[in-house]
Amino acid sequence: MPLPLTPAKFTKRLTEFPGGLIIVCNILDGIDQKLLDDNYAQTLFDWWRTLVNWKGDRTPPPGISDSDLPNEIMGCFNILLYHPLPNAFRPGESRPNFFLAGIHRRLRNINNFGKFINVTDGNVFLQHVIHEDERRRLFGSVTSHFTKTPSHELSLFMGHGTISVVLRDSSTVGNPDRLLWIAPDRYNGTSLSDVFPRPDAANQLRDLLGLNHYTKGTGLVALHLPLDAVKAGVHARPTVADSGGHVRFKSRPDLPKHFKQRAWGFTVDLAKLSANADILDGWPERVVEPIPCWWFGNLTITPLGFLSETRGKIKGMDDDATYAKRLRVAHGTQKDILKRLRGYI
Amino acid sequence: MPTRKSRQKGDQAEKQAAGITENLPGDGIFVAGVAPPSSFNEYSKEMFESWLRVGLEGFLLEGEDIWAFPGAETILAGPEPFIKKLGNFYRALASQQRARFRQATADLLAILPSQERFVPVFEYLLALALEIRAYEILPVLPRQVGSGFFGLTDQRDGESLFVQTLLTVIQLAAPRSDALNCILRLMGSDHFDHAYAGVTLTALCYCDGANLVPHIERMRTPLDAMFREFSTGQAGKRVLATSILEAVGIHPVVSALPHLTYFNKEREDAPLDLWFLDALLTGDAPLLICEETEHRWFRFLNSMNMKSEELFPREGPGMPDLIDYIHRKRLVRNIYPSAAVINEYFLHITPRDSSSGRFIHAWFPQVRIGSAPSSLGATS
Repeated sequence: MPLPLTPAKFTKRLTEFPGGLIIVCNILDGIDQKLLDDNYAQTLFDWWRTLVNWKGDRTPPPGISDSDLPNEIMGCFNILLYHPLPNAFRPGESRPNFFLAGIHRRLRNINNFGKFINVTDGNVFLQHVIHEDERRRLFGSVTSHFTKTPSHELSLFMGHGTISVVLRDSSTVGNPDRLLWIAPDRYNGTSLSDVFPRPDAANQLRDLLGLNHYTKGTGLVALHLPLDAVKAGVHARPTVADSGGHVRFKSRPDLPKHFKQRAWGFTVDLAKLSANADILDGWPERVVEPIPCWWFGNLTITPLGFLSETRGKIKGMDDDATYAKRLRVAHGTQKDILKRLRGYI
Repeated sequence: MPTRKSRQKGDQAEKQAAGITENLPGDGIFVAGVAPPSSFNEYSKEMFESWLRVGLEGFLLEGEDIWAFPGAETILAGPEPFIKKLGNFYRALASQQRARFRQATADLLAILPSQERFVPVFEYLLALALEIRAYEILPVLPRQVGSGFFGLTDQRDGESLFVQTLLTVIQLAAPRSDALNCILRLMGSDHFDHAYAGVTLTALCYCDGANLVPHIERMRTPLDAMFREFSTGQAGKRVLATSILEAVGIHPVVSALPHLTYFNKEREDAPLDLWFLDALLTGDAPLLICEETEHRWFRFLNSMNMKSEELFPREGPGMPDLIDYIHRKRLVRNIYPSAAVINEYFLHITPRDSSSGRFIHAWFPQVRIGSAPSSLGATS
């Protein structure tokens, strides 16, 4: 039985599989970047480990096997961040707030950025965010009845250019249980919007923004978020907790000039990772609390088309193990990482 | 020179130094394929049914979140939509367990009480059935749906459960008798709404492409009601006609044409199938009449895949009207395409008789009327 995990066992196990190693490196990078402090890291590791053990105790026989353990560890990281915890777990203690820890990295020149872009799943947007009447208007009153099935409707949706749509009042832009990831439209003299008209826009933006969880066949849509909508909410430089354990997140920029831009996180450019480039920095990004749809009135969106390929599946090229290896370089060997982790676990 | 063995050893050493074991199950928590705990390997259909029911009720009605699904909390914890995650759980099961899980979904759908309180559970079960392609729900659905409860309740998106059921079945449409029966029985329900006549006809065609004429006859009145109530437009009708052509292929469509109703002597306002001809053959048409021999036969061409089909006259009661329509609308034009156009579009068609002096009729209005180029000996 691999459980219960002592601090030493937990530390070792974390560094033995790619997902765990990616989170560990990002936490250490977050500390190095002064995004997170020691106390934050200690608390996060403590709650995480005790949740794995607590869940293991309650798993029906034959319990959690050693091969199931990486899944359990990764799943518990997500549960800890995004799901209500049962009363029986650490009774009398309330869960610390692990989100938006990078809030102290203020974006002082926010007014220079004009607007922000969020790229999301077109199907989810169509089904849950866009107003039902707008959907009918968008596809023509009758065409929508011919092609009411979501897949047909999504195909039609992806054929649209940039449009302004009405949203459901009761919905939010961004998953209400999570955070909304935003990227400035303009950066360093280039603009994300320039990519939109290209036939390969979905693949290009997915790569640039590091969205490897969107797989082949997913239709993507870009939301143009006005500056005021972002300014009205709490926004911060993203940390590993904000990412929820996303396997292509990084806390540490590669380029020295990006180090100086302390208010921004930088995405992992998936195309660069695939090409084994030295620099993986993609586009700047921040996180903001989900924005209620009623705030917008109308929202401008650009359907980007369907992804023609999946990223992150080629062993030794762009898979999780390859990426974990890239992150680990800054921290030395497994031994070095374990030594550092001892201070926090 | 390093041997294969030493290279492997080197790779292994490098991996060990990196502290990485590749292809462990924790790789890619956001990606489908994460394995559920081995305890599910022993689950029977009844255990899955109970687990799913307790889970969905706890999750949807009692606010227990993912803890309502003991053993699967970690798989259900990701950021994807919940049904997708439940689908990931299903896909990670062994094949025998997947079959049990699908049957459990169908059985639960069959026995769940028809009460307002369970609407969200029905809604999630239908979405789950679609996500995991549980064809096992097809035999049980008509019995459960009937003409009562399902049509009277709204789910989250403001549609009735009946509509969600219909759309689920339509998306599960496949050439299977239970799919066909299910759709036919749903069509017989009091809640069937003609607004969905178009997608229903397409689904019928997917289930049973050989019986296009009965399907169109069956849907004639609801389609007519749909066309009357909504401002259709030729583009919308063409979407529908193209879907049918894609579903059944060119042969059944062409064979069906003489058997459809294009004129009704007794009732002027009677529903007709002219919309189908119009949508198929006019304007930016999916089906083209590219050849005719002195009214003896026509050659139809599917412009999407360049497959062709011949149609002989006097094959059905609608044939005189069909021929009349084709000529009246000048759907076959005595125009010769240029050699380049012919090369591009007609290479797939083998002329039947190279010396018969048969015309090739094309649909390219820009092409000059005249004799076919002699290089196309077969068609001149």
